[in-house]
Amino acid sequence: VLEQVFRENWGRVLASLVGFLGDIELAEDATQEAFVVAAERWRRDELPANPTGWLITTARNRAVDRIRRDRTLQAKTEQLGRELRHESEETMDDTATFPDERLELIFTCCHPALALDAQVGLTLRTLGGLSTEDIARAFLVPFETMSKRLTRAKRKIRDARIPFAVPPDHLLPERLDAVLAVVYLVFNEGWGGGRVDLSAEAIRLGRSLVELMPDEAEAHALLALMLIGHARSAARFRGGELVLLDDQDRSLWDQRRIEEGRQLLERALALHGTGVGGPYLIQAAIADLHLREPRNWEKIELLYQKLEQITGSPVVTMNRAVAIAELEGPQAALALLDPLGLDHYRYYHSTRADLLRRLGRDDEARAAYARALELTRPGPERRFLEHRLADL
Amino acid sequence: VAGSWGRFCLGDEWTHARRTFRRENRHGVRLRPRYSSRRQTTQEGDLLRYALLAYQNVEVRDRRAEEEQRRINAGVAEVLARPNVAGWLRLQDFESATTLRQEQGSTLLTDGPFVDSKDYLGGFIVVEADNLDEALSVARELQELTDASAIEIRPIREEPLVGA
Repeated sequence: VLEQVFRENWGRVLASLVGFLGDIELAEDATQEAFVVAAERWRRDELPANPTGWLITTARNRAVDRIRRDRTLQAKTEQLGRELRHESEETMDDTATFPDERLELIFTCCHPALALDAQVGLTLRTLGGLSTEDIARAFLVPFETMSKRLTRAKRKIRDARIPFAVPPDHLLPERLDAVLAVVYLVFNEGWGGGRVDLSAEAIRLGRSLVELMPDEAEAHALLALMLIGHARSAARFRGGELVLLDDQDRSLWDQRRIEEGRQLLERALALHGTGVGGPYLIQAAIADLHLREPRNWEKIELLYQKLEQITGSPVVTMNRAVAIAELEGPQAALALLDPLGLDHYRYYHSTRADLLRRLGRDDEARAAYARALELTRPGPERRFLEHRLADL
Repeated sequence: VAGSWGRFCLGDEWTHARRTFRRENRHGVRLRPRYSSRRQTTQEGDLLRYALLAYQNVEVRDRRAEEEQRRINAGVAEVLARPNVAGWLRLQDFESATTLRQEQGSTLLTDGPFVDSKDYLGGFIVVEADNLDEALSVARELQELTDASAIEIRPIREEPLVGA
C-alpha cells in the first residue's frame, strides 16, 4: 500500500517542490527526505488524511532546514531563504491544498533545448519516480552515463533558466508535441524491446497528461493509442517468441484496455471536431482498425495517407506500403518502399524482406533480413528475424 | 501559471564593472539600464542576460545584394533599439581574424579564425529576459531577419569571478 501511495505522489510532490525551490536537484533531495520520513512514520501510524499535503509540507520544511544549515545554499537562494522562513514558522497543516504543478514540470523536462535522451530520462525520473538505476537499465546504458546525463540536464535547466511554466498559447502546439513525443518514445522503447514495464510507465504518464490537459485531443489520442497497443502485450509473445498480429490468440487481448482505448479515441474525436486530426488521433484510429475483423485495409491505407500528409515522414510511407501490399500486392508496395532512404531503420529492412519473401525473391529477401538483423538488438524481435531468415 | 525561477543577487562589483564598461564603450556597443520601464511594472523576479552569438555563412553573405543587406540592417537596427537589448557587438569580417593557439606545448600565431568553417561568428547581442523561452523568441526573430546559419544562446555568468 505504501509503495503505491509513494508512486502516486512522487511526481506531485516533486513538482510542487520544484515550483517552490526553483531547482530540481534541491527539490529531489527534499522530496526524497520527506518520503523517507513518511516511510518510517506511516509504517507505524495511520496514513494522514491528505498524504500529498503532508508530503509536500514535510518536504518544504526539510528544504528550509537544509537551506538554513547550509550557508552557501543560503547565499545562492538568498531571496528564497527569506520566503522560506515564513513558511516553516507556520504550524504544519497537512490538510493544506497545493496546486498540482506536474504539468509545469513536464514542460520543463521536455523542453526542446534539452537533448531528447535527457528529456526522456528526466521525465521518467521526475514524473515517473523511476530511479536512475532503473532508467539506465531500461535504456541499456551504464549507470554513470545516465546519472551524468540527468545531472547535466538539471544544471542546464537551472543555469539557462528553462521556464517552469505551461508555455504561452503561441508556443503551446510545438511544445505539447515535444511532451507527447517523449511519452510515446518511452512507450515504443518498451514495445520494441518487449519491456512491459516501460510501456506501463508511458501509459501512467499518458494518464497524467489526460488528467492535466482534459481538453487536448492529442493527449487523449496518445493514451488511446498506447492502451490499444498495450492491450495486446500478453498475446505478442508466446514462450518468449514474437507472435505477429494475425497469429495472436485474441482471447489473450485485454478487452478492458481496448474498450478504454476506444472510449478515449471517441473523446479525442469529439474534442478535435472536424477536419484532419492530429498525428496521434490518426494513429490511434489505425491501431483500432487493426484490431477489427476483417481488417479494413482501404480505410487503413487512407488514414496512413492523411498521416503522410501531415508528418511527411518516410516511416509513415513505409507503413502505408504495408497496407498497399494487402490491397495491391507486394510488388506495388516495394515500388513505394524503394525510394524512401530509410537505410538505418530496422523495420524498413524487415518490411522489405517480408515483401521480397512473398514475391519469391529469396536472395534479395536474405540480404534484407541480414541488414535488419544488423540493426536489431538481441531479443524476441531479433530471434523472429533469424527464424524468418532460416526458413528461406 | 507563469513562474520564473532561479534568482540571484548581483554584487556591487558587477554594477561597478558595468558602469565602467558603459563609460568606456565605443560605437557599436550600447548598454542600457538593467531594468527597462516595461519590466519595472511586472512583479517577475530578476532578469537573466543571454548572449546570442550569431553565425553567418560566408557564401550567403557574398551572394547578398547591397539593397538586400540594407533591408536586413534596418530590421536588425530595430531589434537592437529595443529596451530588452543590453548591448551588442558586430565583428569585422572573419578574414581579418588572427588566432593564437596552443599546439603541443607551444603557442602558435595563425591567420584566420579559430574554427575553419564556412560559418563564422559575425557578432553577438546581449538580451535581458525572464527565461530561456523569451531569449529564444528574440533569437528566432533575428534568425528569420538575417538568415543567420546559426544563433547560439548562452546564459551570461553574472556572479563575480571567484578569487578575483
